[in-house]
Amino acid sequence: MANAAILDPAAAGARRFEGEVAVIAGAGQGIGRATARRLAQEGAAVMAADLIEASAERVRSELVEAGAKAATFAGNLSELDNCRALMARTKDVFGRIDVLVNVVGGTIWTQSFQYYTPEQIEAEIAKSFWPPMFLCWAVLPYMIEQRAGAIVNLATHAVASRYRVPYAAAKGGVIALTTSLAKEVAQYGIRVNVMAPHATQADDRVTPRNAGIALAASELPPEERAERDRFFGDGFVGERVGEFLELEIPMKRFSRASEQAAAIAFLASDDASYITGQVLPVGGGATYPF
Amino acid sequence: MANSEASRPVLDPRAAGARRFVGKVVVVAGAGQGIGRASARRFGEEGASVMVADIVAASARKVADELGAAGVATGTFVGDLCELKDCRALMASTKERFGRIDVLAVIVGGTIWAQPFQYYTPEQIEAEVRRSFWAPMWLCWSALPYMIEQRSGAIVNLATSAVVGRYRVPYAAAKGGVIALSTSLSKEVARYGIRVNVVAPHGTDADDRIIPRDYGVNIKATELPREEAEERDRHFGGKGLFGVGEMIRTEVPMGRKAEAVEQAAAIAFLASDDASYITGQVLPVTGGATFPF
Repeated sequence: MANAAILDPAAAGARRFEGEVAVIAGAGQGIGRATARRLAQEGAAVMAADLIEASAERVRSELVEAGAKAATFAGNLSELDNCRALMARTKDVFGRIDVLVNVVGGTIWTQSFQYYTPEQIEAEIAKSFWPPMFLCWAVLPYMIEQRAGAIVNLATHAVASRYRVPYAAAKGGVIALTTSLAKEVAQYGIRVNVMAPHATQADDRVTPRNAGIALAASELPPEERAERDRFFGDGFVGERVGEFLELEIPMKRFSRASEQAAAIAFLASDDASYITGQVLPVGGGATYPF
Repeated sequence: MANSEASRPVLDPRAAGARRFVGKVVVVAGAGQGIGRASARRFGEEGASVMVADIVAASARKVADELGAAGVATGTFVGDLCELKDCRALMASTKERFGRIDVLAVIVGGTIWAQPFQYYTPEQIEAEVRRSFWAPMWLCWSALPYMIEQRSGAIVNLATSAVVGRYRVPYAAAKGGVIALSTSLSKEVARYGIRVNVVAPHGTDADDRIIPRDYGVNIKATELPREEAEERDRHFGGKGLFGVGEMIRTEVPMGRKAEAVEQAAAIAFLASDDASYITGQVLPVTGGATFPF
């Protein structure tokens, strides 16, 4: 614990997860990595799960170096078998599962809906809808047996935005998965909530959005492309800030991954012991429609 | 943690060692009991200097004493925070005592009566709106000049699950207004580094309640027809306004009321830098009850 302060100073000394076991699905970079650091900072043993083994290992070694307990799981969490294997491995290594944070997901492309191919749409749903569905389903037996647990799923402000309709629809489904499941499992002492980020900087991104997906983006007509690029700026969350920041976000800045992690940690902790089935928008003041 | 702190009384163990408010000045309006007192304790536990404001001097004093015994710097303010002049005096007094205002938590408010809308008298309705609508309006307005000058600040207002409940329509309407006050104001003041959010509690135990709901209100509850009174009492579960009755069973998946410290934890989260990218939002702390806003 002596040098654990290096993982996330925002914790300000808190140890809310002392003795708890947290599974972070999609822990390799960005919000997932920031969440792994925050929960470990506060005392959790962390199972860092990611599609990319090297990313999971990077996070594990950071946490262990700071004195936290951590282990890795590498696998494609769009597949149920891998989700079940992740939970079994966590139980095996750490003996229980107190917290599940589903960060895995994220839009692969940005283009108007009519330019998506059916294959692209299916790839977006496979990446952003099925992992939380299967991960929640796979963890429930453990949490029900424990009569305790907290799940945090991620949604997105894209549900009220443009150029990523399949992703938005997937995350709309994740919200309903959460709100509905929350009512079923409250009787077992399990809480299920959603954190809905807006644009977040992931300076540590090493895995591209289309990792493992053998489909190219659609060729857009020049004027379509120009309009989208004005909206997003240079790249998806790029150096040059796009119109959407001005249009959608009163704070007029991107969030840091650690700000999203702080909200996730709140919902996962006993500080949120009377909160379940809720969506917490972390969007710099943007209005959230759900 | 310094050795001298090792033996201080613990105000709120839920903080788990966090010190997010070290060096910050927090005004808790309605700090004398219940959620307000729990919030004052949580802020104090995490290192804040706390201005304890309440309409009842003895209540403010009690809370300030508790915090003081735990080594927290406190001030007290006694006044009717439904009155603009008292709200302005509270902020001036805080500035004078502590030099700044980082956080304003507006807990003051709460339904006075529980009865079907048609049995409210116009005077009762005005009393409800005065207490639950005007206090946050005037408090936010009074705190803004200080926060704008500082170019920083966090405000947390309270709403209520009563917006979809029954038997307290005027209170529900007042709190609907408080939500819109918060969401709209947040968009205006984001540019100054000020955040404004809402915690929306459901039924919360206030075991420490010593001040009755109708304190300072010289109006009686309406005599209800017997069957109306019985139906209401079934809803709330007995004589008090908030027992555990049908309301909790039908509206709250967790099947229990909240403890005040659970509301305080959410208030502290929104007031802290942990919520630095969150403004204009309503956080329902409702045991799983659906919140419609």
